[in-house]
Amino acid sequence: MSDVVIKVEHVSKKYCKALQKSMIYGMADIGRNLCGLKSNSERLRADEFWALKDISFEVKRGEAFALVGANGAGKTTLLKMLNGIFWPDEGKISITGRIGPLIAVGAGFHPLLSGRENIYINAAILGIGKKEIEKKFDEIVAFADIGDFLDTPVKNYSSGMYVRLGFAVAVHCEPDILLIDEILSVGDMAFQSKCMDKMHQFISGGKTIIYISHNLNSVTSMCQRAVLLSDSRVVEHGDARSVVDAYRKKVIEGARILSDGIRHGSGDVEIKKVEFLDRNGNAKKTFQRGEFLQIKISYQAHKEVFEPEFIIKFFSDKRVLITEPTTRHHAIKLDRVKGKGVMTYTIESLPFNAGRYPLAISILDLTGVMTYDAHEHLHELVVEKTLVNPIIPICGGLVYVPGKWELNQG
Amino acid sequence: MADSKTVITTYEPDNSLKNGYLLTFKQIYQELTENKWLMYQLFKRDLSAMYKQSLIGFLWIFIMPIINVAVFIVLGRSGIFNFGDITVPYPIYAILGLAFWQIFANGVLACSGSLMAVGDMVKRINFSKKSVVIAAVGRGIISFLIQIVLLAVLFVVFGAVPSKYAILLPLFAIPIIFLTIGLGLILALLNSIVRDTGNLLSVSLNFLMYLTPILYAKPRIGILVNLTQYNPMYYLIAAGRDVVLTGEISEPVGFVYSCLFSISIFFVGLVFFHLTETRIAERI
Repeated sequence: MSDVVIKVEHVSKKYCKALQKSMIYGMADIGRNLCGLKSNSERLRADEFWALKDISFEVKRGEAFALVGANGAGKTTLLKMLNGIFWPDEGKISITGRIGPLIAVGAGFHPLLSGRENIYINAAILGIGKKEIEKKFDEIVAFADIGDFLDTPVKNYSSGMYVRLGFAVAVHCEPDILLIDEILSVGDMAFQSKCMDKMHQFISGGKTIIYISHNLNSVTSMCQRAVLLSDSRVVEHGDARSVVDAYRKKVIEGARILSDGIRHGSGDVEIKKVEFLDRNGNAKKTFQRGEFLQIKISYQAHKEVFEPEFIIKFFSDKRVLITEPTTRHHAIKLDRVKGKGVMTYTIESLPFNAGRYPLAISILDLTGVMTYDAHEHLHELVVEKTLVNPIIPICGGLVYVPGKWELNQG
Repeated sequence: MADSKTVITTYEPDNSLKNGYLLTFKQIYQELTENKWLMYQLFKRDLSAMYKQSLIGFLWIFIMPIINVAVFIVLGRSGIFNFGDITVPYPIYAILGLAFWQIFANGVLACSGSLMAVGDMVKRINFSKKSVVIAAVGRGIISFLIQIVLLAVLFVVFGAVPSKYAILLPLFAIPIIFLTIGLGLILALLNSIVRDTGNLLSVSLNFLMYLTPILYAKPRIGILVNLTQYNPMYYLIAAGRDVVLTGEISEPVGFVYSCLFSISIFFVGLVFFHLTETRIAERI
């Protein structure tokens, strides 16, 4: 099937910076609407700016489509326009089928009412009638997995439970299009994989997902296509992996430290470049089990700092932390760091099996509390499949841990 | 539900302009009939959340009018305030009027704040916002029904006898409800853009209550006579009160005009809201 379910044509949206003016403009717009006059929304008034400008793309049935970009690039605004919460000031959006709510952290529950009561109300808001909700109620409760808390006021829920309940209601309302805004950052591991499964099910059932996440790894593993938003415009459009790569490149090159899930920190010491090198010091893209790997971190300290700590975290593609070597635990004391420099971490024999391993690389201050610079989702180590390796025997799982078999017979 | 796959929704600036005004009424009608279950759920939610963190709960519905009336009895007994010619025991007269008044006052207040109260949802889900505003009137209606019980108790306590038409009492709430919804829709929308609306409203409702002959009889002379003449709330409340106490509406013409006024405000409110509701989410 290749039919288009979402069609966005030259859509723009403007916001007003000043609250007072925003109110006046709001009243003026209402007045014009009532009198049957055109809104002239394509013109910018004083203090207004384009939050999104000239956005066009199409999403087909059965596709998972990602919106990536820094904080404030307009991702959520775009999602809200797809839902009809905000109306475009220019251009046209056409949606085929029933569109779900914006699934985001804390999906509009009444704090004093119990989970049970909120399920009914939320479902009613999503357009689910009495019969339908009674049929699906048990399924929703089972998916949300909130146990005895069902009859407890929602205000006593943890943020994870809140999201679980919101997600459960939304997906069971069976929309044709699901809009997901950064929810996986809250739930625990078990719930995250449950959500992922549900989303995959959703897509294979011929439905459509629009997905926003700062977890770029989940973007590439789930979505086929993506757009990169930057400064209210689409700057990259196409295959999800190439869009994410373009974004990674943009973030690393950008001098500005972003405070979002991808890159954050004070910027006093900046990670300028991260390279994966082989034994001869040549940069390589993919590695094999048992191979030599050196991770080279080029940094620049904009001011003199004392005893910083370098950390590399290796994750599995399911975001499980495999190992976390740090300069502190390796008892490496870096007295003073100033200006440009290079820190390397060498693995003589790579113990990882074939797969993709996201890395998080960060530099902290001496207390380990303040972050100078952290790259959370910007680097990925790719290990290729190999048949036989003389150094490391074949084993299942993620890593090879050296060990010895011995048989003692009676 | 119709096959949802075939439904195509388009969002464009000035959608309502392109569709024309006649279609507006059809859309409003459709929206309201499709969302009955939602309105009921929202109403139920309001009701069960209303006194959730309160010890005496629904007793508050009795306490408010009783205190109001008690203050006026004290003022009257002290000779500070003159009730005018009231032939029935004062508490019956006052509570009856207040029961009607609070449908309007509480209703309009609840409506105007209703969108803000669900602001979080409005920003996440595209759903029928009219339903939210209309459901907000529900609480006032429930309070009204409960206060009828209080009224019945007062009739017994004072040994007074209501007219045989007193049973029609709930019917007289209907025009007030229409007026409340119409005004509520307009105020809810304005309030979501300019917050002054809500504050201004609480002040003027207080003022309006004292201007409307509810806690006193309609005076025969003075500026209030002229004002009352153009006050639809007076006719709507007085008619209901007359029917219970005497069985006869003393000013039927004014009552009919006020009913027509209520219904036209109701429709104006709906259209006003429908044409401009796409602006709510971004300003709230």
